[in-house]
Amino acid sequence: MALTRNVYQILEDIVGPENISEEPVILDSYAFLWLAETVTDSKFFTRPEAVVMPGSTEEVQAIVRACNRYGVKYKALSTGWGPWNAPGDEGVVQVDLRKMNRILEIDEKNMYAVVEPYVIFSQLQVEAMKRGLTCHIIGAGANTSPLASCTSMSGMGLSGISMSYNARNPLAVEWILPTGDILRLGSLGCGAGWFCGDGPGLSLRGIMRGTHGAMGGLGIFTKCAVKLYPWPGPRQMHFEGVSPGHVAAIPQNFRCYVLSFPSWDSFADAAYKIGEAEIGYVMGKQIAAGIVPLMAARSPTEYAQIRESGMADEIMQEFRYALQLILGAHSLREIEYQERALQEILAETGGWIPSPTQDPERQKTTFRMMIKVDGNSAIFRLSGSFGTSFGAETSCDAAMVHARLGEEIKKKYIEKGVIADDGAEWAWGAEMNEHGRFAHIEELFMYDPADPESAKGAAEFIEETSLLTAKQAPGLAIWELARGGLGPKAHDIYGPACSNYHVWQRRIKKAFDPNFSADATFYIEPEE
Amino acid sequence: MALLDYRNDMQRCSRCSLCKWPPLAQIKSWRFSNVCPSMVWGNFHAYSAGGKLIAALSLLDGRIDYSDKFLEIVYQCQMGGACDVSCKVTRDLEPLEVMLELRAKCVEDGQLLPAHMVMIESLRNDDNPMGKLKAERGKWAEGLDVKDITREKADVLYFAGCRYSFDQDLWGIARGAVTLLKKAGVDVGISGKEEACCGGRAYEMGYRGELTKYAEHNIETWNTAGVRTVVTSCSDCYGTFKYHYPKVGKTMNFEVLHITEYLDRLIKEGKLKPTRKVPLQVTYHDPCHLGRLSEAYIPWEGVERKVLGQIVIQDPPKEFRRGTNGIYEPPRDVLKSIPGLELVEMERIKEYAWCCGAGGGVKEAYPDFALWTAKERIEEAEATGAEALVTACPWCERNFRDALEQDGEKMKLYNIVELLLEAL
Amino acid sequence: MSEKEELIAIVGAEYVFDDPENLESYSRDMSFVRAMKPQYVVKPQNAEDVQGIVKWANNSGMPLIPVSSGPPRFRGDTIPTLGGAVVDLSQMKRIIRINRRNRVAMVEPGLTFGELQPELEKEGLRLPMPLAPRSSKSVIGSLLEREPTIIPKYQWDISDPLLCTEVVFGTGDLFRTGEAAGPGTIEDQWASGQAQTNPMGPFQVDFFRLIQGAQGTMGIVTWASVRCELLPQAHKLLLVPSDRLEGLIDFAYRLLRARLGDELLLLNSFNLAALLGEDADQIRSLREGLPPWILIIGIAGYERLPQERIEYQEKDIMDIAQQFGVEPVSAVPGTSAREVSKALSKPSGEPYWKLRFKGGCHDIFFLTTLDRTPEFIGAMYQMAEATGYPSTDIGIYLQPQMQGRACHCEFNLACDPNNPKEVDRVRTLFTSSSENLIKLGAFYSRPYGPWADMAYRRDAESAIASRKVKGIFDPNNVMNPGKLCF
Repeated sequence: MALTRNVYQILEDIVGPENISEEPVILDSYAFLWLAETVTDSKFFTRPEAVVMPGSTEEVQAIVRACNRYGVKYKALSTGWGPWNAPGDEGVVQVDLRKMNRILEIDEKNMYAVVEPYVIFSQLQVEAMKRGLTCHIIGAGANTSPLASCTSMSGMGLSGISMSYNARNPLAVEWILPTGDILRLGSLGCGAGWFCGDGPGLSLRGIMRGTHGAMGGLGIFTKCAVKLYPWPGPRQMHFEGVSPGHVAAIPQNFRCYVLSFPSWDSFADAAYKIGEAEIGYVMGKQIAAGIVPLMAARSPTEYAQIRESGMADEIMQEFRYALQLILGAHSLREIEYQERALQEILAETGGWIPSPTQDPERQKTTFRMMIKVDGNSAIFRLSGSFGTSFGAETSCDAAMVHARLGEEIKKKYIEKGVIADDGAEWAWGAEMNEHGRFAHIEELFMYDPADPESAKGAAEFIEETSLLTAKQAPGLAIWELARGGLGPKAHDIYGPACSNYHVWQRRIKKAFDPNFSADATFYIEPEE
Repeated sequence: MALLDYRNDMQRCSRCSLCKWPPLAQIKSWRFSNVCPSMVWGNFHAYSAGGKLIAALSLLDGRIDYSDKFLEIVYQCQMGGACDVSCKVTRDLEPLEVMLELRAKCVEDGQLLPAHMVMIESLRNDDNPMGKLKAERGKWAEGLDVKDITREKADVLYFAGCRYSFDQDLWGIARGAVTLLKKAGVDVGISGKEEACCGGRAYEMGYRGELTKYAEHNIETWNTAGVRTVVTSCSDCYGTFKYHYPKVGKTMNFEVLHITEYLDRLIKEGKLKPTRKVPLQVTYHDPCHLGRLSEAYIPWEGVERKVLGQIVIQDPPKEFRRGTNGIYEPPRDVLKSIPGLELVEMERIKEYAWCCGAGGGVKEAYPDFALWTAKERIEEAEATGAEALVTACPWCERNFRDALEQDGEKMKLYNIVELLLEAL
Repeated sequence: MSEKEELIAIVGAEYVFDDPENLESYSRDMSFVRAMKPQYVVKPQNAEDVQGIVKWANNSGMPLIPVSSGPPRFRGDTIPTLGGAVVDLSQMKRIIRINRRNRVAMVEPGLTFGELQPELEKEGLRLPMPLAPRSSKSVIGSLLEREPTIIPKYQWDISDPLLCTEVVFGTGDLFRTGEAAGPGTIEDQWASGQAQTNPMGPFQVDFFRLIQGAQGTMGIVTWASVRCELLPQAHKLLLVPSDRLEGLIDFAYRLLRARLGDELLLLNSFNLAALLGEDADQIRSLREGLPPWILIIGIAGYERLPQERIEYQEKDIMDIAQQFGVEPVSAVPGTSAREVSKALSKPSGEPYWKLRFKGGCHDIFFLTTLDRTPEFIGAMYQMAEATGYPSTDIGIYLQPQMQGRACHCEFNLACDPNNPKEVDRVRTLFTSSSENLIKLGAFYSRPYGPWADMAYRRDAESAIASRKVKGIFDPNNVMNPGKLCF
């Protein structure tokens, strides 16, 4: 269903001929996405009918209005990583926000930045660091968009312990509603500035997003004030070495640890205590036991040799209940205090610092990866891709329930040979957001996207775990994972189990998008 | 390897877009945070390395066919390889190889650019892609007291390359290089008009046969001449000798050095002594082919296997070129050896340096894009506060000169050789 | 059945009131909002009652005005605009759960701070409080109104410390927000270790944000989980006096950046005097002695290394103070840190501190950023002067919020309610300065009374969108009609 010439021409008039395309070679680069093979049996989702690239709020608004007027659906993306960026069906115009890539303002005193959709975390972080600030970077990596994270996606990341979760990090937002009207959330609406995203009165931020965002299903966000957080490190981090081994010295007021524990229980105890002591700057369970042997290998081949020889068994066990922790302090007195507190916590919980991680060079690498969040796509390295499944934003104790459940289910799929044998453990997260107020957990696994059997196994794994959380009550699932696993029926499976929220969400969709113009695929279809 | 051999790499791209940025830890500002000129110029994802992998997969799977836009996406790229370095920080994929194979396939299928055809025609007729007569090739060295290797033996062959041989504005650099070598007492010769193209540019444009032809010819000539060392001032040629020549399978009985490596060695051995002050603050541009693309070829023939369920391994293990071992320090060390000269670094350097814009057949096919790319680099150089931009490659130099002239910019431009000459 | 009989059938005769005295007491508050009597006052005992009442309202078309705090009330949000039934939740006072491990409590809307804090203390917890709330103030009422608390460090988001809620929407549907939504019952969730600590969702809508700040126009909350903090084992309060507000502001920013201090707020001499003084005379004399501005910094030591925590923070604060040329002290002329600490650590004694000077008080408050507060204060002084209100009688309270990203700026205009001339003068000042302040960039995020009109006039799109929300959750407009933009 190609666009009519009339509609194409209207869109072209809005953005200019160089910023619109319906060339198949261009369209396919938007249809191709990570995890597509677990849904479509190929690397490609449905092609958009055209890609338009607006350069301003006004152009976005004009596109949305034109789509409403001519009955065309649209779907916006910023960096475009993940299946939720794809058009759900035929007849969708993809709105690529790449040209809207400016950091409009950094308010150093009041600790926020105003960004456009295509600013990435790395850019924002370096500019913020020049002012003694930084931003909460999501676990996916610093190559993603803070605006998208704050307005439209989820927002978990290891700096959550001191920098929250991105659903809680937007202040005022400029939002092109599904109909094309511009809503300016919070203090921006009356022209007071960007410092608050809630009010007057009830907070329309509640419509904008929940734990997870509308993923393009409720309009397009063009500007967002993002909270920044204190960065007590150097204004510019200097990384020595040549790719892929960049390292930076750990400043005097920082420490970088890997902590291991004898069990999930003691792991959780320590996580709670660290949260309560308010000593973590970045913390989480990122390095799975199955990944640890890679530290001693130069290639997947060597990794496999080490694993198959059995030499890795002991170290994998040592890292099974391990978390990474960066302490960061504003003074040397504070770092001393934090270290004392940590030592006490380790003594109380039976935790220890595994010897391989005490190597200062390794610590530097871990420090870089946790501050810059630049290494997480290594997760694709061993098998070519990874998937992630169920999990929740919930208390740490409930997260541990997830971790245990994840192990059990994963074993089956490892035995079938359809996912990589990672020792049946990869509970990722445990971030203890906001000094321990709620945790994040998800179960990662590795599969090969070039192997149809593996892709099929991955799809089954995601589906089984998604159904599990709907049936049992270990915490509300992560939406994009549940949607990925269960497909369009996900809301109708979860809704009845969760206060019938889906009924309300459908009403919201209908009220705010009466022409059903914004692609609802990863939000909610207006009809059951 | 052929394009089809990389199908798994294409499928394993996650569309993470890391190929658009420097290694993330090395981003130092918003302003200079891009690493892929093609992507910034073209904007649609298809212009990125990841996008080209997708285009290749789509083509292989018969989802799309060649079109003018397809060719633009394939060819509007300098093949500078920064994308490849960024990808390989965390992945074991070969995006640049896929891009090279994709161009080769385009050529095989007759999907050619007129501007490139002109270059190839010239190459076939006159052994250079610059539309110049072969007979004029040695003119750059006229009056230089240097051995002609076709007539007499020398330890070291100085290989000028096509750009230095035919771009009269740059002759002084090649002449200066020879002068420096002679000053250091090096037994150096040149091939004069008998010199032939390295074949690298043709290879990058997808013309595989031309590389094989020139590689075989040059290796044989130099082996026969008994030279111990081949030195070139051209980074493109250097990268070609180091990476592409070994692929043709002929033994090379000589060492290949870039002029900056050799000069660095001579200075450190005390054979060249920069003593005169050159009071200048400079910034150094790493040419792609001297930096990340000069990493030596690492032969690998093997198969992919699965172990531990779905872990993909190469059997035997494959070593990946990640930009780690490019020539980064020698040019810097030469600059640092010059009294009074201060080197300040740009934000994007070494393996994640921004390209000058001239490579991959872009300067010839898309001159506006080439100049825009250069101007972007000049802005970055200016942002350091340096008075001069220094490089070590004639293609970079030509393109920077053109960009500076077009905009009437005041920034000075030097080759390392010029500065060292001044210091002696 | 009559309306009254229907109500009685829902909650029982002892919880339905329509005697004139009762109706009169809910018809007005301390604000300038026009008085209006409700037809009924009904006091539900549980969620089922509430649900019955809301369904009844939908059938009968009777407006409902939810009230959770006891009098005196100040904002006009609980005065019926169109009559109706006041739903007084003060009898729903249960503490459903206190969970030390996850630092969370689940409480009903009638519970006051004074009732909750001692129970929390038994578990080693405390709930960050607004500045000396009146003793009748409902915890949930305060949280639903996004009242600032005095510990900005623990306010990560403007919605804190409110977490999950159980709510009866205007349609009569019972709903649980945040992770409390499910799957499973609350008991199932407890069994798997959940503690209703994640307020977001479920999934892609933050339902709790649609209730919070809504002044009871969307539904009635029947319980909420609230985020508690550890109870200090040791505590130290520092007072930083200054003649110049600007000097304290820069210092405060630096502390917020370094995450130093727990309680952190700024008061002018009048408000500190009002907080500490027992009557008008005492307030007057205290005000004369106190420095014009006081930054109050509290440092808590918790279970882990309490003294050490206080010690390093105090030393760091002193170092920074030296750089900024200010001096944190334990006493200023007229009072000591100890006395201030006492006043901040519990709800206000009787009478409520804002009423002690003249018996009445009208607050003007809004959100801005801390650096902009001097402009607003200057403007307020000018406006006071123009209306003949003594600027020395203006109480000023500046409360950094969201770890310092925004600032609650509050002017308290004391007023003798029995002096019509003074009431008139304050009314004039209140109205004109409210309008002028919004022109200067004040954000009435909690738009009570006349502010609603001012705020929504400047932000029509928010009004339109809010009405869409209202149409979903309260399509018959039974919930507190006439408030906000409804």
